[in-house]
Amino acid sequence: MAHSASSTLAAAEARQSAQRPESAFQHAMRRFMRQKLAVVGLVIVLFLMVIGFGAPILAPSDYRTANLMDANKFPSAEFPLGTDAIGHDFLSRVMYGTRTSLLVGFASVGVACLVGIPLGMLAGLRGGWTDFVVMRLVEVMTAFPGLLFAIFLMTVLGAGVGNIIIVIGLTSWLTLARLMRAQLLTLREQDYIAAARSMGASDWSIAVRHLLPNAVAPVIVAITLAIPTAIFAEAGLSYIGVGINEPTPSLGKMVADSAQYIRVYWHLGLFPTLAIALIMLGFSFVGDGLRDALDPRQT
Amino acid sequence: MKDRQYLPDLVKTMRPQDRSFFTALLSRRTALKLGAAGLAGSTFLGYSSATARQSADAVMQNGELPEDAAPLEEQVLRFASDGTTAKAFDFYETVYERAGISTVFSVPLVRLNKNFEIIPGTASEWSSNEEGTIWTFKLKEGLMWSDDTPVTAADFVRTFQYSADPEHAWDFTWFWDGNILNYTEALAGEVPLEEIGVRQGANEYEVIFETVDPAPYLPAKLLYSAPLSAKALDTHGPLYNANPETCVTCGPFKLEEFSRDQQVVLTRNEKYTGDLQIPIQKIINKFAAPSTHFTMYEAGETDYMDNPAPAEIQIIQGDPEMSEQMYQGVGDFGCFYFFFDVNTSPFDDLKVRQAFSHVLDREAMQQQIWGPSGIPAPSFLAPGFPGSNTEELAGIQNFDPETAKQLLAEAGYPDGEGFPDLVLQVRGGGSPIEDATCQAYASMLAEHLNINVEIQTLDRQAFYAAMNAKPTEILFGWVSYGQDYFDPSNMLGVWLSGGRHPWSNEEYDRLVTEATSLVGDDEARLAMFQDAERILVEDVPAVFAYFATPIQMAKPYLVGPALEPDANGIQAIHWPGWELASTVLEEIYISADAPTGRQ
Repeated sequence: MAHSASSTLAAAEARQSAQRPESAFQHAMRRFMRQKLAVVGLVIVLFLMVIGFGAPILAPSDYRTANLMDANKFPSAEFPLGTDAIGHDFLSRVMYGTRTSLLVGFASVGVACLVGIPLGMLAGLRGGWTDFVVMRLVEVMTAFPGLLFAIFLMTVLGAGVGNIIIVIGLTSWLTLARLMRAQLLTLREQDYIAAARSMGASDWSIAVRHLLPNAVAPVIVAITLAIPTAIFAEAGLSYIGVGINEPTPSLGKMVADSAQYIRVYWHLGLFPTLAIALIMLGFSFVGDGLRDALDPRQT
Repeated sequence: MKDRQYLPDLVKTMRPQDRSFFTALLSRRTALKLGAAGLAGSTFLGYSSATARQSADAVMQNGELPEDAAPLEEQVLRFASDGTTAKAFDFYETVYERAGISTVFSVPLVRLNKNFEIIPGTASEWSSNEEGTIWTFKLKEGLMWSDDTPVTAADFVRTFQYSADPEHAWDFTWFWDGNILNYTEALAGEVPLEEIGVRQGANEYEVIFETVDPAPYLPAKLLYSAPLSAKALDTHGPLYNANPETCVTCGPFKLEEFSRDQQVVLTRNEKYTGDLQIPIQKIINKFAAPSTHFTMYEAGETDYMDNPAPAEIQIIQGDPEMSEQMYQGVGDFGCFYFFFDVNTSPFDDLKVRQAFSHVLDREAMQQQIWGPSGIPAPSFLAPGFPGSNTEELAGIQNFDPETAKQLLAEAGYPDGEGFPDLVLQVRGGGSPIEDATCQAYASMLAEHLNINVEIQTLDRQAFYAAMNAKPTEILFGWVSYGQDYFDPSNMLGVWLSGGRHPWSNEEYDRLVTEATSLVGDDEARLAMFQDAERILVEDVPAVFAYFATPIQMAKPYLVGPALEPDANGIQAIHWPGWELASTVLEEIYISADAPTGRQ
């Protein structure tokens, strides 16, 4: 009897569960997976993350290892992507270069988030003078051409992975701040916020428990799209010689170095260029897919 | 042309036991050493340059072109240069921001022929007092500026005063600083410009130079003495030669066009009254990024280029026709080297510096990186430069990783343990060969000594400011130095205490200072310089990497003695190249084989 009662209860729960509307995450995933390009982008990104962050295990040699007597070799069974002008295995260099690009992409967008999101929230929540000051700061920063400002900062701070992360982060927080502010300005007028306020919730509590979760979808999209931009900025800065120091591999610097060799050693330009293109494409597809999945209003 | 031999090729043809470039260059070095001794002798007391001088091997005789030359209107020379910093044409306006071709509107007191011998320029002869501190240069008479005023001592005096004027802020004052009497004080604004040691002699065709110390090398140093017109400078102000309207010249060329982002065009000065017979009637210098120079040359847009990139050299060497157009010169005998701040740990330890000197595999670099563009440098003075002693010094900074490891262990860093990570600082705008050399050396330090080296490229101006700061701000760096005048005092003077680098050695200072001023004993003088260089190499304030042997390309129709072997068998356009401090322009012409209408 008891057994029968419990099975009936379980069956009822199962039915209820089947009828329960899918979560926001499930909904977004379903929408995301419906887009072929987004899935291709995700596969590319995952693949690049595996070969980039797995480089210390997967790469044939360390990025610093060079045998001068093997310099300038074309792709072969021994060196699948050939070697560079001082005998580095080029496959290893491209793998480590991908790691550098991903690291710079993620970390610099992290810096941008740390600066942009709190400032945007502050402006959106507080309004008044706070909003005025933050927005004037955003406008002043917008007046500087991003790349030139980044070159200036890199020249002052000096080249290096740490500095390039800071510099790209500090020049790319504006979009996130503006987006977050705009989201909060809209959301804070919603009834549920007024209800929370009438129940005595603090600004902090309202921001963290009610506003942030509702504003996060477009921000995630912006972050995803900011990553390839940051990666391309690193490649550009390294290309002009103010990015990352040797021997740390940078895809942008590899492309720049190849310019003097490319008429003979085509592989030195082709493979890092392909890697940059793949990274850009992968993240752009994923970003577009996430936008469609998370923020249908913008679609 | 077909049996032309390049320096590395000479090495390859030798027996294994002799296969060192030092041996290969011995005959050339010895010959040049003798030439250098002759040069040094030519500067000594009471010597009159007119007595036994060499001269240009001019191709024009009595104004007539050689029989195989193209007609006058086709005597046009075209080349490309990076014009991003082109600002002026006169040495005493700016040294580092000159256009690709400069020193064409006046002739220095002395010139250099293709055997690196000093020959008369605007001065017909010169002599000094007993001590070698007062030098009198007699100017050729009858030479006129294009504004119909004569070239006199006043032009030289005004030019040197202008260079010392703090308001002018000339970028090469160090060259005369501490050398010409009162020059340092004038730069500091402590004495009037009129009191520097450059003045008119007994008449307006006599210039007198007074030096702080005996200066037997002064005539060689006055290769940099092409004057400005005193009248034009006072009338039109600085940079008057950068404008065709105000250009005043006493040389064979005048400024026709200076389009700052496009090109410079020089045409013949109809009022030229000098004695240089130059076949070329027009020079077109096109401004373009260096990476495009080879393409322009291939496309027939230029007649000459230098310093092709490594891959371009491979293309050239793989093409029978183009390889015939390739020449390998010695440039300015430039030495490229890694330097240390010897006053700061870990490089204050000689054993560490010695260890670093033994892991540079010059042979591998020669084979894989430098190719024909450089030869190994075991010391500072390049083969062929006076006082060069590469053969004797070759064993001091040799490639010997085992000894390097042992020395590093003795210094307290067994297998590199505890050794700090380093940053190798290099100047921006270096050639691909320089970049590859630095990267390869960093790799060798990691491989043999387990030392991590990061390479940081600095903006050129920031690099030099950091290197020259007192105390220096660069712990470990990469730079080069090439001659300004053909005397060991020039190159070795760089390493004197208080000079370019923080290294200091009393015995070295004594030898170089005494030899620099030594008058009357060439052999003893060179021996002192060689002893000094040995100290320099043994104390390792720097690891010397390579001597540049720049590659030049000249179209087959560009012919003349300038491109034929010199007295030492070297076949290339010699430093200082396409300017009137050199005899190149008298020794080259366009043959009738050139395509017409190249303009």
